[in-house]
Amino acid sequence: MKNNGKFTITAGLAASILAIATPAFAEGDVVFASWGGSFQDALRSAMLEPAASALNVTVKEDTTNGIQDVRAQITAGAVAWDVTEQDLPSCETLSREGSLEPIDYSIVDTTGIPEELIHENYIGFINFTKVIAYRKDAFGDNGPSNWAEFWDLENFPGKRSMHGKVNYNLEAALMADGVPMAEVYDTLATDEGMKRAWSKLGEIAPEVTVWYRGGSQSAQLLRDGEVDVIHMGHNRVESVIASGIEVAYAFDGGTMDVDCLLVPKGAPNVENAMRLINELLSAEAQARLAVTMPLGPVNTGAFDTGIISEEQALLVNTYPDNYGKQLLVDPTFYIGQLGELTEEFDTLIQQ
Amino acid sequence: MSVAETYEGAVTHQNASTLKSEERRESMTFFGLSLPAVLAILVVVFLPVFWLSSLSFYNAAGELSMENYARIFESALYRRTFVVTFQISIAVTVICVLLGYPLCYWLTKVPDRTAAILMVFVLVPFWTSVLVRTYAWLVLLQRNGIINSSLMSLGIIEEPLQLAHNLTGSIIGMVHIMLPFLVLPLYATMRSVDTDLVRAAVGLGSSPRGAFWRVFFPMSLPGLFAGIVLVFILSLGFFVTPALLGGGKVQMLAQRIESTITVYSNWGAASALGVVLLLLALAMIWLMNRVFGLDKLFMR
Repeated sequence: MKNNGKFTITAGLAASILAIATPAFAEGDVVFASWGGSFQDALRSAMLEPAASALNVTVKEDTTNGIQDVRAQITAGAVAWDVTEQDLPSCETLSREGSLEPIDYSIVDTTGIPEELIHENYIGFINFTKVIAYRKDAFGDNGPSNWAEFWDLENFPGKRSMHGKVNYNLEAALMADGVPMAEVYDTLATDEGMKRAWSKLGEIAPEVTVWYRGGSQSAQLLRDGEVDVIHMGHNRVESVIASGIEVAYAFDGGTMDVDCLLVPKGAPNVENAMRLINELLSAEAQARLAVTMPLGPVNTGAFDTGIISEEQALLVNTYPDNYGKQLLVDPTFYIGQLGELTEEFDTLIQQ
Repeated sequence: MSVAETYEGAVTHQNASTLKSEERRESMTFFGLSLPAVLAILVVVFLPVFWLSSLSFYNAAGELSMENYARIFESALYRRTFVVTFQISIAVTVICVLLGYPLCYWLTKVPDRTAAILMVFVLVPFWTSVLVRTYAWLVLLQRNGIINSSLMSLGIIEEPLQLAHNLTGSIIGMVHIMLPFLVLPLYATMRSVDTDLVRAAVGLGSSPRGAFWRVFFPMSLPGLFAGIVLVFILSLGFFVTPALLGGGKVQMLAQRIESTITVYSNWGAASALGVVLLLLALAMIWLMNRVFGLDKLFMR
């Protein structure tokens, strides 16, 4: 973990010094912060460099470790970023704290972006899905491919792994217990529904071999055959498949989360920020990213640009045929009770 | 009073005062030399500890409160974390003693050259990063790892043993990392034991076993206790190994502190755990001191 952190910092420094996309005659700056690493490299070539030349601005890059960075800049009264990418709960939290500039929808074109991802102070950017993936050497072609089957140890015996955080696991438990996807968050809103989710999660908890900590660990577990079935990031599953391991997965019951773009209150170049957001959300930019990494464009127009082939599109979580099969995570559910839920979850998984 | 007496007295007096001032100068020099270390400890240890401790008395809203401590004592999760932390630390210490004592004793019996070579085997892992060694254990212990696949190909077991991603894996990994902390002080102490005393005991009619238990063993105790304290206290604050080999199910205090910071973004709650851990460690040292008489060890 520590080494990864160092790497991110080093990579971040390198990015902020070296990666300045400048057209020949730049008129102004805009500072963009994302998660660094190979992900930000992909963003740079697919989105940031084309945006810089289209807008005729210099796009400077930085890296973020999360919500605390934005808060620190605002508290210190020294906002350095114009646009940053954050996860959905962080965006919603910052929005409620009044820390964001409203998105200027006269500049940002929302054509092709699902209604539920357009908010007053932030807007969806890229979709990430965790799917149920299984090794074919353990299950053949008919492994567990929905939550009821993931829970079913009798018909699908094998070692299981889930993410060691409360997020998505309560939702998965309810779906395993037969709650339709559309009713998951309504059920969780009631005390009774919450109890039902915990007791169902309690059934599988002792059977989970590994509660993994991060994305790279989940990939290692699947690749090395440490577990037979796992709920993990679908782009990482694709990378395991690409390394030659026989793995199958389906989007059904997958948990989809979204990263958003936001403009911190007091950003130095608000207008350029809005123009950059508009470029980042354009169908072409989103399509270019999807062919670099199988991450989901929020803009469904991306599939009509001709950049993504039909074959590639089937592997993308936001492809219209796939989108509706997944549960879109409701960030408001966790806000304000993440601490309590995490403690209850940790109590459940602790030996 | 004769002249000679007066003269002699003056000389004595002068010598004494010279000695005294020399002594004072010497102690000032030593104080001066130790000053950087004292200041460093003050700045990098005491101030942050003091600052963190004071943070633990503020709640998330920044008000003075005991909320953070109340949560630790009321919640079943924290209680369980403390129990697990102590269980693992005790298990690791006991296993280290059982493995380390015979090893050290054997090292004192083999020729010096062999002992030096064998010590390299103890020390080389000690110089390797904890993270690297923990991942190495993962490679060895996991389901398709070297240990399971060898045992299965030899027909000793049919199903792979669950060696990693649980308490067993965490303890195995931690014992490996902690063993040098027991071996080094213990071996140093054993080397300094005068073996003539053991021979004398045998010469005076004791059995070799009696000589070991009544002469050698008591004299090796200071090193053993030093090792036990080191291993136990370091184990209490362990993070990497249980995090990677525990499969998410083994949660020690340091992991709880980390998750408290990331989940609550609240230094107060995490500080309170740190303070309780520090107090427990101090209490354990005090207790071990009472039982083992460690002060004798440090006086040596």
